[in-house]
Amino acid sequence: MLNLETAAAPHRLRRVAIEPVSRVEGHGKVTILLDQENRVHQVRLHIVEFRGFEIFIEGRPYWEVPVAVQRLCGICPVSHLLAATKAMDVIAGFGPLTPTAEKLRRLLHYGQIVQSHALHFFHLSSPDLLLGFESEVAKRNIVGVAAAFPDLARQGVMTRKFGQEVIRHVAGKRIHGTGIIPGGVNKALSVEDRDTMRSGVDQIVEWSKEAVGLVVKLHETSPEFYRTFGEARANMMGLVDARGAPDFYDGGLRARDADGGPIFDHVDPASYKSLLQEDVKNWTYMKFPHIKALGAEKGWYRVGPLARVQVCDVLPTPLAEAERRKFLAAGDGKPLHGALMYHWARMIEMLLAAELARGLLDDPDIVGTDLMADKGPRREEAVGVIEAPRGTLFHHYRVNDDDLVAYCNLIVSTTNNNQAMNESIRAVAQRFLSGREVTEGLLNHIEVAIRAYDPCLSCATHALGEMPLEVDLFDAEGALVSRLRKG
Amino acid sequence: MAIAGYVVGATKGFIYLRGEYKHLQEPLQRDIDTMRASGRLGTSIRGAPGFDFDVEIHMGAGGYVCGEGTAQVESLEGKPGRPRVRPPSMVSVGYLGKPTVVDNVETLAHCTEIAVDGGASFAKRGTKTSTGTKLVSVSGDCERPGVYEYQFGVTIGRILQDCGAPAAVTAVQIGGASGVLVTPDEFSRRIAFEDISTAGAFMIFGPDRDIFEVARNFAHFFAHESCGFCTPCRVGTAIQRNIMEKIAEGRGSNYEVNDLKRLAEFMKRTSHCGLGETAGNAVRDALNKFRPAFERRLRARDFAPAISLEAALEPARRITARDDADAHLDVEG
Amino acid sequence: MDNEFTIDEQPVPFVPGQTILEAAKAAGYYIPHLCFQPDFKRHGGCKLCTVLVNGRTQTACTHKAAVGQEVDVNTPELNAMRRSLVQMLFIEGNHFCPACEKSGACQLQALGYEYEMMSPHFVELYPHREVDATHPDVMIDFNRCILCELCVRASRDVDHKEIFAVAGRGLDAKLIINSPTGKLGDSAFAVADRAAQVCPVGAIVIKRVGFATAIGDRPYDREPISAEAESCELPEVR
Repeated sequence: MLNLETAAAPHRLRRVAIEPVSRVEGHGKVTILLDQENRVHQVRLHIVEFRGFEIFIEGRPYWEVPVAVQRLCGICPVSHLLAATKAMDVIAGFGPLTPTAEKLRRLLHYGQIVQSHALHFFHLSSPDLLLGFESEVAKRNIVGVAAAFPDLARQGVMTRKFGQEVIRHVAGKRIHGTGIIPGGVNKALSVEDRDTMRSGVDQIVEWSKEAVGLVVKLHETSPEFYRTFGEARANMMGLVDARGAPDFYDGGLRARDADGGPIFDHVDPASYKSLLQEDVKNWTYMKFPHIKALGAEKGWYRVGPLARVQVCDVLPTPLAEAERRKFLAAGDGKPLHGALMYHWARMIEMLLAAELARGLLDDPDIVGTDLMADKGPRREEAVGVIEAPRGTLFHHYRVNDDDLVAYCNLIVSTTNNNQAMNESIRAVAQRFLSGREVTEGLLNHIEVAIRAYDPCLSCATHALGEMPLEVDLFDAEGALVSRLRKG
Repeated sequence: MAIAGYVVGATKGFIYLRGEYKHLQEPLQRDIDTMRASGRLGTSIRGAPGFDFDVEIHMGAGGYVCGEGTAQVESLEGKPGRPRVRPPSMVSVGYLGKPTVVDNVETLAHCTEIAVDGGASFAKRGTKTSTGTKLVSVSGDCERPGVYEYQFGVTIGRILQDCGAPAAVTAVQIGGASGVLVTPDEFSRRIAFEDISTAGAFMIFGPDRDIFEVARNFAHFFAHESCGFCTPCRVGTAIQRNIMEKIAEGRGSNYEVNDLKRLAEFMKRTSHCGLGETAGNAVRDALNKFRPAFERRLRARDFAPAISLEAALEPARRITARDDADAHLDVEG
Repeated sequence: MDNEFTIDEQPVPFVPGQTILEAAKAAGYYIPHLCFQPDFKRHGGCKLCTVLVNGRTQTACTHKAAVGQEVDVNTPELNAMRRSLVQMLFIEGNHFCPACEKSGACQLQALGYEYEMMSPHFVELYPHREVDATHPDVMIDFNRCILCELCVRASRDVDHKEIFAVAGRGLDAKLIINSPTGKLGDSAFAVADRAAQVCPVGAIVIKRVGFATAIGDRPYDREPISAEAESCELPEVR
């Protein structure tokens, strides 16, 4: 861990701010403190996570919650829909889901992972990777990629579209559907819709495999750079099933340390509060979760693709497992912690999700009509946890006797990754910015590292056109020395 | 009222006294008792067999809409004062489902007059189409406010003169909050069914009165008095009030002014009863006749956006590295 | 020619005593409405069914059909008026369709689509209103109440319980509940009551069944509200 969170004598340093770092709902910024020689002394990622949902969901009926909270996000709303519904399955008193209901939920989730990962890689991050971190800003976006690599861009768009169509078939709409309800699902999948998806899925598996190949090729151009860019050695956490394979929808929590050693395994996610602790810091609204037993200093961890492919023992599908082995080989048997390795892991997961979806589409249960579980007595409290595309997502609710929500706590993937993201950008700042004249291209290095963690952060910077980015340089007295404008 | 009862064959009458006039209840009751004692109420009135009629005072909780006949009968029945759906009219289905005559005290008083002196005598006063006299309740900026009785056809100017209104009256609101706002160039107009018809309210606004504030006050009045039964009046009067508040705070534009006009027309066409139909009148008249009182409060002639469009283009200029004339709006929006 | 009037210049037959709305429904002609349902006493408060009868605005749910009447229903002016009414109802309460379980089955929302309501137009009032979830089987979300009084009428005239009434006036008008505490859970209300089934919006909802109907299968996913103009059972003429 680099000691760049808080500078010793901040008042004597110059402050550089990247604002906004385009991000999820709200504003984010990076502040950097430099001395006379442009040496970096402090780097912070400030995020104002929009947490109003926890408050305004209070007093609402529990069956409304999944549909309401999915509005947290427009990229992976299915994650919130699923996590909240899983909690409400328990609260409403339902027993185990019917096979058809669970498989439809999984299919929905895998569809979402395909679309979210495709969106993140092709639309948002590939411009940096394919065109160069310091390439011409005006072309550093998906349109630029489409011009330079038309076939690839098309595959990316079509892969994402497939994922969205899966969501539409199961949830009724591509974004913010309602197919999932406490106790099961509200609609059987028609044979016709299943056949439509089945006829397209082979191509998606193939393209996903090619996408992994593309990342591998990029990696091979400069293995050392890819391996170490934004490197932050972190503990890793994710859900795994009984075999030790990653489970996007369910399973037990497993954490490993930066060297791959066990921290905890197969823990019931409902007990997350005994495992994890959320700290607050005075310079950001976002909480800092860490593994309680290890303390705040050593207990912070990473979630999402890079964590998941490394906390598991195996991937449950053949093509993805083969790719995982190649990935592990790049680290010579040691866990990888470079920010850019996220992309490689993410594409392996996209392949995994496509293969898993294919398996479900071949399963006769998927068009079954037994949709709702049996119902027992109402319960007061439950935790719903899933692996969202960006990492572990916790939804925790208490519901009163009158069926209204009394308490809600959400730990979203981005929050889980808070410290890790901070550490990665500190590593980038130290390595690329320290001692140099600040340029737009250098600042984009920081955003490249952030983007690797969280597609919501990168979506605005790589929107068509360009988000305004302004860096102000102040002297020790706070007077403006220079202003750098992106664009 | 007893005469009216005799004519239509009714034996029971109510005086609906709204809560604001509670102080009249006791003297009124004394008068009724006196009449009963002297055989002018009760059974066989004045010794006429079968002429039975009695009067009871009913106290209402107040509410402007209870001046509307059907709402008054609802209130009389002990329900909230909300106008009924018509038809059927009161004369076929009224109080407790029975045929009912609902009239003002003034009308009933005229009945007595006609009964005593005859219709021809009554018709001698007033104009050809508005016979008789009218009580005018003068209030506002004048030396002698009060209730005046005039023959129909009296000019507004005459009334102003009689009550000692100042020379430079800004406007007169005739017919109460639902009525019309009359400006000095119209003071030769007459109180009559063929010109300005009114139940009698006559509100004078002197030279120092700001007609915008008058209209704003009326807007609050209607939002307060709407019974809430129908959508256009319940919500429309609240919107009207809120727009007037926005203009009062100096955040209005011609957009709001035009919205007020649309709203007045909308309420007039869709409301359930006279209250909603006329709830936009005062504001609309003020707008038509005292436009400057509104305009000096407006922030922009056409529309005042929450943001400056010219300033909003700045990021786009910065990104595209442009600062030429075409990259700016001609006029600050 | 006897017992016939016209709607938008088309001849429509009627039974004496029928309202314009009833006759129109019987003839398969759509006139919008929120506070009207054939089984209940006429109300006339929502004003959605406002039509022109011989050039004068009238509520079609209360105005009796008569020989030779010329009724205008589907005109740009009347439809614009209806859009304003729907907008007013939207801004008066808190109608968050995205998270509302009545979406797709809500008459107010359906009328918003029918009359091309692309914005609220008026400034939202965002009133502070509570949810009453004290009843074990039914919940009332007052945020969504449009004061149509269908529940008032159903409870009074069909269930004979008089659970509901509207109190207050103007914007303060609100649905109140006849129980010692004013809470639904302390009233004689039952989920089988007719009043539990009549809410045209999402104000009175049966608990724990929200979102059970899939997108695509909800009433107004299948066809717009104006397609409901199938013949209805005529109420007894009073």
